[in-house]
Amino acid sequence: MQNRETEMSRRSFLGKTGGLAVLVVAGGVTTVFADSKQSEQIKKNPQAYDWSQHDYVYLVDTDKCIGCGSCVRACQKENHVPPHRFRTWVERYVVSHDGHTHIDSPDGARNGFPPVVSDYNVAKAFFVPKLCNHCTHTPCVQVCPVGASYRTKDGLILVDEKRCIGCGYCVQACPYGSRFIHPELHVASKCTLCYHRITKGMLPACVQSCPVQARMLGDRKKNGDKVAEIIATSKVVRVLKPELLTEPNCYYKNLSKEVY
Amino acid sequence: MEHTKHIWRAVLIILLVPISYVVIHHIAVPESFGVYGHYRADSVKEFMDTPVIHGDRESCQSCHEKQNKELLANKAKGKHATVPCENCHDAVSFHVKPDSKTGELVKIEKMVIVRSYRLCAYCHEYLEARPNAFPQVKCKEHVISQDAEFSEEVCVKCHDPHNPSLKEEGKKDEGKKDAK
Repeated sequence: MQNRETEMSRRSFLGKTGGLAVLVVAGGVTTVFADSKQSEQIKKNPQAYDWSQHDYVYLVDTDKCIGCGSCVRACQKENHVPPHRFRTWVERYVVSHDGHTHIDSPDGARNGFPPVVSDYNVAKAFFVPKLCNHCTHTPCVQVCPVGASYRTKDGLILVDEKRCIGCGYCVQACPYGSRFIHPELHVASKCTLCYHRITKGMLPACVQSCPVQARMLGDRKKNGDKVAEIIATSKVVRVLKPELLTEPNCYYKNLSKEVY
Repeated sequence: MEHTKHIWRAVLIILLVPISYVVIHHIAVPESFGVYGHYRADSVKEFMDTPVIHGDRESCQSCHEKQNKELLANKAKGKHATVPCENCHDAVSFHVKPDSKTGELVKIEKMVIVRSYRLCAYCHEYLEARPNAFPQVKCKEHVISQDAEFSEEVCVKCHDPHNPSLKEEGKKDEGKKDAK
C-alpha cells in the first residue's frame, strides 16, 4: 500500500514537472535559434539608413522658449497624437521671491498659455518644453514584459505598437511622465523623436516648428555637430533628475533650479 | 512487457519536446524578434516607413518660389523669416500629395489661412514667462492705444503676417485708417 502511494506521487510529480521541463528546453532552443537567424535577417533587410552612424541628442534652451505651443501642435499633427495626450508639452513656471512656485501646462500648451494672475511678486517666470528624455539606462525598457519597448542603435527609445500589450508598467516606470496609454489603440505611446523624419534627414516636427530655435537636435557621431558641441562644452547644460542615473539624452540649457 | 507503458510515456515526452518547441516558437516569438536585441526588428522599419506629415523648411518653395516670389522674399527679410510656413498655415501633406503615376505634387486641399488675432496671440500676447526681449503686447490694450476697433482680424489690418514690422514700409498710419 505504501509502495503504491509512492508510485502515484512520483507519477503526478512527473506529470506536473514534465510540462515545465518542455517549456524550459523550448525556451533555450528558441534563444539559440534566434541567434543563428541574425546574420541571415540582416542580409535580407539591408537598410539604406545606417543607424550605427548616428547617436542623437536633444537640446532645449529654456531661455529662448516663448511658450507659443507650436511644437505641441506640430507633434500632434505629425504623429496623430490623440486629444489631451502629449508626446511633448510645455510647462510654465512662475516663481515668487520667497520660492513659491506656480507650475501649469493648460492642455499641454496646445493652445498656448493664458495670462496668469499671481497673488505674489514674481521673481522670475519661464517656460520648459518637455518630452521623452530617451535615456541611455531607461527604466521603461527594463520593465517591459514582452520586449515592446526598446532602445535603437542610434539612441532612441521606441515602442512596438504591434507587440505592446498595454499593461502600463512602462508608463509608471518613466520618471519623466513621458508615456501614456493610447485611448484607442490601448498600447503605450510616446515621443519617437519623429523617427520617420530623422531617418530621412529631416528634423523632428517640434524642432522644425520652433520659431525661436529653443529646441535643437544634434548627433554625437557627426563631425562638428554644433548641438553636440554645446552639450559637451557648455557649463549651463544639465539633464532632468540626474540622481536617477537614467542618463537622459535630452539636455537643458539655462535651466532654472526649480525645474525637477 | 510490464514496462511497455513506461517506455511509451518516455517516448511521448521525448517527442513532445520538439513539437512544443515548434508550436510555442511559432505562437510566441515574432519572426524578426531578437535580430538586433530583445525586440522585433521589423518594428524599426515600420517606424521609418511611417508617412511624413510636415515638410521641411524648404518644402513650400518648390512650388511657391515661382507662384509667390515677392511674398517669400518679403518674408525672408522680415522678423518672421524663422517661422516655418506650416506653423500658421497647415502641414504640407494636407495641401498637396505626389501623383501616383508621375510623382509630381498635386493640390488636394486649399491651404488654411487663419486671420484671427488668436493665432498671433500664441506668440505675441504678453506673458510674464516670455523672454523680455521677445516682442509682445497686451493685445486689447495695444489696439486701444492705436485708436483702432477691436475685431477678430484686428492684427492683420496693420501688420503683414509675413513681415510684421511697420517701420520699414511706413504703413503705420495707413493701417490705422483701415482699422478705424
